[in-house]
Amino acid sequence: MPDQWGLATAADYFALLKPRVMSLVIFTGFVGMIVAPTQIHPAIGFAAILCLAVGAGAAGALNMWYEADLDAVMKRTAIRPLPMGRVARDEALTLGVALSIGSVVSMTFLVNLLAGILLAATILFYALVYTVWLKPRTAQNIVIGGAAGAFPPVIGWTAATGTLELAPWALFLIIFLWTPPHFWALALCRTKEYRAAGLPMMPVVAGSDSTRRQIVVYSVLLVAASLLPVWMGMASLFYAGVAVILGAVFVVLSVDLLRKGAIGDDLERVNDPLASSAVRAANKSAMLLFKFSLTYLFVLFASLLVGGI
Amino acid sequence: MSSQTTQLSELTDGSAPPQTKQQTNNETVVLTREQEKARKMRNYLIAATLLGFAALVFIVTIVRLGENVADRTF
Repeated sequence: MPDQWGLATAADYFALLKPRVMSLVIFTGFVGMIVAPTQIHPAIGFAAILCLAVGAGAAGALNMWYEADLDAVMKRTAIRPLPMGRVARDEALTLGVALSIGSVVSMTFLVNLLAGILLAATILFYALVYTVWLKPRTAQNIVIGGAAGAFPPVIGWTAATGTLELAPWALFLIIFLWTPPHFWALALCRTKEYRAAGLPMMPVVAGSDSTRRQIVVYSVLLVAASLLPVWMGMASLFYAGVAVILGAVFVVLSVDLLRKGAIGDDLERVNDPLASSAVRAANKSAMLLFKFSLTYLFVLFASLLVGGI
Repeated sequence: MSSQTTQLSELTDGSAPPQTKQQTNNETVVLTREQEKARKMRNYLIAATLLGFAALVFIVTIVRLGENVADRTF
């Protein structure tokens, strides 16, 4: 849409930073910082979270710059500022690079060197390893690439302590194992779009049945990992109770998704009037799991926060 | 405006206008009212961001100085 040239607003540039992903990064990073054994000065803590948020946003902008052509062919992403023509690709690249450097340098000098190094590693991992290398090549893209989204609590912890310890890696593992079932639940309902874009997401490559089986496996592993903070003595019994209850619901929803839908059905056919009731039920089940997974992570980390304050 | 004037909104390929060529022909780039308004808002945003960042650096510097003063050995 060339007639949009020069009309970009602050909201368009903000959208380049993937604000919804950023909010998750801010929250999990904040929790990592609070549960750390060392107290951080509020001003420095604020600076750390700001750098983390801007760094995550920068990685998002680089991702959108690189995938602008792919975004244009997918319904979910076609409304982003680059496919819409409101922001030029060069601008997105410049913004991404400038904010990446700015956030890493600021994190290093305002907070500490280790947090700066971890932030730089996270941005590079997301922009290069996930976006450029893994995403267009392997169905395991979201599994390995999920590590980028799992780093924030480790960075938050490191910002507070200045050291890299074993404890925050439990939080890393929770988000790492949460990412595949969360993302695949949505991808199951977007298979056609991913196929059209030529992206080898798990439902495209392995099919709906295999993906649903893997979702169950990751859900069980996630529940086990969610209890690690209790075992490591960094979480309260309240957290343990929340983790068990939420984990049980997560597994039940995953198993429900596995059992619904006929073998080989494409869940995206839900809008097809000829689609079977089983397809409709499976699609509904997948979206329910996707929405619940967001609540799951938020409540789980919030309960960790309750014990940490 | 003269016929040499280029309306940015009329560009059809979505790319930035060929400014070098325009400058050599003494053409001027005229933004539409909406484009001017959007540019002004972007400039305000950049100014606010820079001011906020300067304030953050100032505050963190004061905090760090305070910590170092408190930790010093006499």
